[in-house]
Amino acid sequence: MKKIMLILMSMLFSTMAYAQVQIINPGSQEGVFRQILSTIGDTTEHNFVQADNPVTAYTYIEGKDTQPILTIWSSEWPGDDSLKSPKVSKDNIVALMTYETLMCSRAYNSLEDMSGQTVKIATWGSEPVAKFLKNLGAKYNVNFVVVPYSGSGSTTKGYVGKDADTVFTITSRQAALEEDGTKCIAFSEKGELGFRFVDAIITINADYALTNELRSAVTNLSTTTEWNSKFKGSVTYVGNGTNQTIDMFEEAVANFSK
Amino acid sequence: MYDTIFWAVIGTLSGVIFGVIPGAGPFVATATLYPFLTHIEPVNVMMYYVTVLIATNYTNSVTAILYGIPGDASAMMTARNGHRLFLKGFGNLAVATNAVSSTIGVVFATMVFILVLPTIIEVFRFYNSVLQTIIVAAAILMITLLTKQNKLFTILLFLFGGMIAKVGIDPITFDSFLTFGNSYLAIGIPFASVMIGLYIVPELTKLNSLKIEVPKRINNFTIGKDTTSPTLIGSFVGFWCGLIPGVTNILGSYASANIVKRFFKKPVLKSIAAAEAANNSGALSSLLPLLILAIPITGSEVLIYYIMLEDGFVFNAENTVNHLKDIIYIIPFVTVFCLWLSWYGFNLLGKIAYYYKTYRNIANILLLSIISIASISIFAIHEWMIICIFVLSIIGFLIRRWDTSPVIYGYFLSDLFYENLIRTLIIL
Repeated sequence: MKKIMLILMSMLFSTMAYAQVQIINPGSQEGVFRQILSTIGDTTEHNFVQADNPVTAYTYIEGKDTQPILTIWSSEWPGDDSLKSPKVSKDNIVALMTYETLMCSRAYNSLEDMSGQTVKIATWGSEPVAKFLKNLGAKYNVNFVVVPYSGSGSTTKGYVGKDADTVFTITSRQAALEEDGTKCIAFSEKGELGFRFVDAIITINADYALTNELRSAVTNLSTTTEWNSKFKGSVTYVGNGTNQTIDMFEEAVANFSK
Repeated sequence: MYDTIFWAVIGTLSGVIFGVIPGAGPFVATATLYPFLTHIEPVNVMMYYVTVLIATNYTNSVTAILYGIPGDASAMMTARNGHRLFLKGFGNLAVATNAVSSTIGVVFATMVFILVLPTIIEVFRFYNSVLQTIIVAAAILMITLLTKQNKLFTILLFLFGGMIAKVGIDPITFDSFLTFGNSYLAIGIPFASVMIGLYIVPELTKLNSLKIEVPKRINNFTIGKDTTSPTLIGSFVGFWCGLIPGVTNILGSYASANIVKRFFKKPVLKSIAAAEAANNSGALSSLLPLLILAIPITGSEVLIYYIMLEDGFVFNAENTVNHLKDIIYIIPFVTVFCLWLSWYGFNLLGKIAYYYKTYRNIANILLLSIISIASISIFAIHEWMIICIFVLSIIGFLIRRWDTSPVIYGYFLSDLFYENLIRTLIIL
């Protein structure tokens, strides 16, 4: 009887805890963050806030210290006065979504082949990517000149249109890049490129039990075909309270810091 | 097969409904049916989306012609020219030309699809940043050189549009522009508020001074003379502009209408023909980067991309050709239905014109209120949308004597031009 009471009470409390979760999407309505949070949201009761950008999202987080929140935060977001960030720690990471990168070229067969050359490369026009390519160029004696785009889609389209003969983007674009016989020559997954995008799915103001419940939900989801087809090209690392995930996140933050 | 027909019907109906609602369009139509679409075959998703695109591009001209309010930015040229024709008693010509030219635009794009799809990858091989820079630059030149008002003021309006589009935090560099540390400004100025405040308000104010006549020949469905060439020009220009991310058929309708204005006599009706053909042709061609390269270039395509991925679709030329073979025969039926609907809806114009004439002020306020409420409810941060609509409406009212459409094009084109120009300078 005591056991049954305990089970019923724990079920009641877990339902109550779930009902209180507020999901805040700091991404756009049509973006991948919305897809991730909506998919997790399907497993639990919640109210959804579509913030559209991290600045607005933070206004929902700041100063609220009671209601449990589930959100996703990118390691690209600087976390300074221009764009404040919530605390990301081993205790509140539900999961990390990592997007591996690759470099492909129709003119070169390897990074070594580029040695001594000036190589125009289609990629994101952000400062962290420029910094990464500068360091990579120094290592292989290559002068990379960035042809800048705002996203991986337009980067791929620009490369196919021959804006540049080399491209640096995420691995989910590999098939489209290889349509014209392009060869992909380096991958972050194999350790050849020290750069990948890392987004942390985190809880805020949540207790250990709730964070763990959400980790279990993501663990189950990440093994489904639906999750893997939706977020093709990404790898999901579920948080387990150890330093593994926070180390990965902090390494990515360091890559993106100015 | 029956499933595919069912989703064609659903797509057409939701396209008709969401096309009429200003600001809704294919994105809201697809978002509304999202839960259902994730559980159907990819071929049916494709069928649904194609029919939504076709139907919305017919019906987004309804409010444009009747009230001068475009259903979305791509119907602006029709709003400008079609509504004036309507008020002068020639609404029948505007509606008929819209219907026929839209149909030809769909037929043109479908034929190009069939002809070039197996080798479509070749199209993307020469469609690079240099070519896009030239196209966008030509569009900007048309806006500034072909205007009848003061050219300097037109340029200033265009730059103003570009400036308000930049307000906020850049999602790539995280640099802020004109935010002054304010968290609302960091969000940026939403497009709906720009369209309401800086386009719809001045246009409605202008219409108050126009003499309205109830159309006498409202029961005659009359196709405008000499609209064949403008329609074909619109279909061709619209198809290529549809491949440009961000602007797609918006640029196509504007560019083709201005080409017609420049080179044809009596261009009002002909520019509607060109704009509507471009609109429909471009809406379909914008699908190509998604289906062949898995690159969505509009908001609604992003939704479709995820839905089809979820349904197990692999984006490549072979799969796309196979799926299109299964649905392409339905497109003529959908097109004929939309054409018939335009025809049938046209017969209601007489009554609507009469009521509009009688209650013009109330109708304008009511319309503006409905559009504003719809925009506020859709946008995540309601209070920010209210502030933006309020402030921009005041500015719009103050500059009501001017043609404010360059602001809208500045909002879309200036950043696109700048980005392509930077790339072109690096490439060359």
